Amino acid sequence: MWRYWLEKKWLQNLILCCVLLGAVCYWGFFFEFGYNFDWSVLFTRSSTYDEYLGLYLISGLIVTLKITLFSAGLALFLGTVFGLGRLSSFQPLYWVSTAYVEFFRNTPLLVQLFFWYFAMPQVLPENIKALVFGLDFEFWSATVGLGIYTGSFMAEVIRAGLQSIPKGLLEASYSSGLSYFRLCGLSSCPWLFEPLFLLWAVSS
Amino acid sequence: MKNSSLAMVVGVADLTWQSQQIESLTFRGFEATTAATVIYLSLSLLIAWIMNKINSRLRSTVHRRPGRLRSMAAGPLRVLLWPGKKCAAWLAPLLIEDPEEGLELSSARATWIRVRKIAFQGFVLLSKIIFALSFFFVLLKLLQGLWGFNWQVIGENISRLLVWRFPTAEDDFLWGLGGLSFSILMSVMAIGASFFIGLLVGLGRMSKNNLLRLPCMAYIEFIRGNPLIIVIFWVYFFIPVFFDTFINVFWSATIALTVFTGAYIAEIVRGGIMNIPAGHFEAAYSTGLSYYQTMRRIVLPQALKQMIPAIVGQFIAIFKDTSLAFVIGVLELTFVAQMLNNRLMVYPFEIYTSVAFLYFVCCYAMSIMAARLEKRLSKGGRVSLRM
Repeated sequence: MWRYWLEKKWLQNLILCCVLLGAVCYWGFFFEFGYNFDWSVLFTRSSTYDEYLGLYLISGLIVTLKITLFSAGLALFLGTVFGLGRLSSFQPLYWVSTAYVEFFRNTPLLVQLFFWYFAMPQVLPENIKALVFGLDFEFWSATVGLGIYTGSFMAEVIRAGLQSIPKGLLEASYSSGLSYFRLCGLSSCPWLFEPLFLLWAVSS
Repeated sequence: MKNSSLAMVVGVADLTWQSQQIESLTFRGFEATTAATVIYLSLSLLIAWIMNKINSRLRSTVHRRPGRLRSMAAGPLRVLLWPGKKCAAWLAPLLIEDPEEGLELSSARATWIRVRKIAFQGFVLLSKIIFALSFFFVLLKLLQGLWGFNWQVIGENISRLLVWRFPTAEDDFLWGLGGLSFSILMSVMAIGASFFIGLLVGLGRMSKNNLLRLPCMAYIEFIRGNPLIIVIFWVYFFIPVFFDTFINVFWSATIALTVFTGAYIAEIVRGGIMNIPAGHFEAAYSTGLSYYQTMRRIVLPQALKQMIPAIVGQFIAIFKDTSLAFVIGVLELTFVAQMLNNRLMVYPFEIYTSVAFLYFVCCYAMSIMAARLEKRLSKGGRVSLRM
C-alpha cells in the first residue's frame, strides 16, 4: 500500500518539502544556538572599520577569477607541451615530461605552493630576488604554482586524448603526406577538444 | 577555480582568504563562510553550465560541420601568421613544385630539395642535441643542489616529519602523534567511511524516487561545487554551532575529508553502475530478483571491479588533500613542515623538498599499484578498465 503511494511524484516532493520545513523550523525557532547571527555584517558599513566588509568578498572573487584564468592558460600551454612530450620517441624529452607529470601529480598542491613561495626565493640571486619581490610575489607564485600543478593533469588528459585517436586515422594522415605539426593541427584537434573541455569543466 | 582557493595559504587575498579576513575582523565566521560558499557554488555551477554548452556545441560541430571549429580557432592564428604567409608567397616559386612541371625536376630544383631536406634533418638533430645537453646540465645541477643540501638537518628532523613525538607518556593517543603517520591515518579513515557514504549516495542518486534522488543530488552538487578548504571550514565552524559541541581539530578535518570524498565516490559509483549494460538489470529483474538482490549479486560485483582504479585514484587525491587540514591546525605533514620551517628559519629548501619527497613516495607507490591492479583485472575479466 505505502509502496503504491510512494511512487507518486507529488507525494515524494511533498515529503521532501515537509522535511526541509521541519529542519528550518527546528534550527530556525526551537534550537538554542548559543551564537547570535548577524547577517548584516555582510552588507552594512561596519562601524569599527568604516568599510563595507561585503566588498572584501567581491574583491576576493576578482582575485580568484584572475588566478583561475592565468593559471588555466599556463596549464594549457604546459599540458600541451608535456603531453606531446610524453608521446615523443626522443628519449630525453620523454623522460623530462614523464618526470614532470609524475612528480607534480603526486605531491599536494599546498606543499608545492609552500615550496614556490618559501623555498624558491632562497636560491635566487639577490638582484632577481629584489625584482621578484617587487612584483606582487604572492600572487604570481600562487598562479604559477597552480598552473604547473594543473598542467601536469592537463598533460595526462592530452596524452590520453591523443592516444584515443584511432590508429588508422594517424596512418592515413601520415600516408597522405601531412607532417607531424599539420597532423596535430588538423586531424587531432577535434578529437582532443572533447576530453579537454571535460577536464576544464571538472578542474575549474 | 576551486584549487585557486589554496592560494590563500601564501597570502593571496582571494575569496577564501577574504572570508577568513571578515571572520578575523568581526568574529562572524559562520556568516562569512556561508557567503563565500554561496559565491563559490554559484560560480562553479555557472562554469559547469557554460562548459556543458560549449561541449555540446563542439560535439555537434565535430560531427556535422568539421570546417567551422577549425576556422573559428584559426582566426587569430591567421592574423599572427600573415607575415609568414606573405614571405611564403614570395618564396613559393622556389619552394613549392610547380604542378605544370611534371615528374622531371630540373637539376637546380633537385639540389634545392636535397639541401632543404638535409637542412631540416640537421636542424632536428641540432635541436635534439641541444635539448639533451641542457637536460643533462639541469640534471647535473639538480644533483649538485642535492649534494649541497644540509643533510644533517633533514636527518635530525625526519622523525618529526614521520611521527612527530609519538611515543609520549600522555594517555591521549592523538596528543603525541603527527606528521606523515597522521596524514595516512586521516586518509585511511576518510576513505573507509566515505566509501560507504559514496555507495549509498551513488545508489540513491540513481533511484527513480525523488525522495532519495533529490537529497543525494543536492549533496553531490553542493559538495562538488565547493573547494575542500571551504568544506573544512564548514565542519570547523558549523558543527560547534549546530550541535553545540566542540571536537578535536583532527576529527573535524577527518569528517570534512569524509564528507567531501563521499560526493566524489558517489559520482564514481554512479559512473560504474551506468557502465553496466542495461541488459543485466533487465535479465536480473526478469528472473525475479528484487532490487537489493540485483544490486548485491549482479550489478555491484561487476561495477565495483570496474571502479577500483578510480577509487585508488581518489584515495591518492585524499591523501594529498590531507595537507589542507593544515589551515585549521591539524598536526599533519604539511603543518609539521611549516612548524619546522618556522623554527629553523634558514633551511626551507631542505624541509620542503623532503616533505614533497615523502608525499611523492606514498602517492607514486599507490599509483603504480593502481596501474598493476588495473592491468591484472583487465587481463582476467571481460570488462575493459580503460578510464
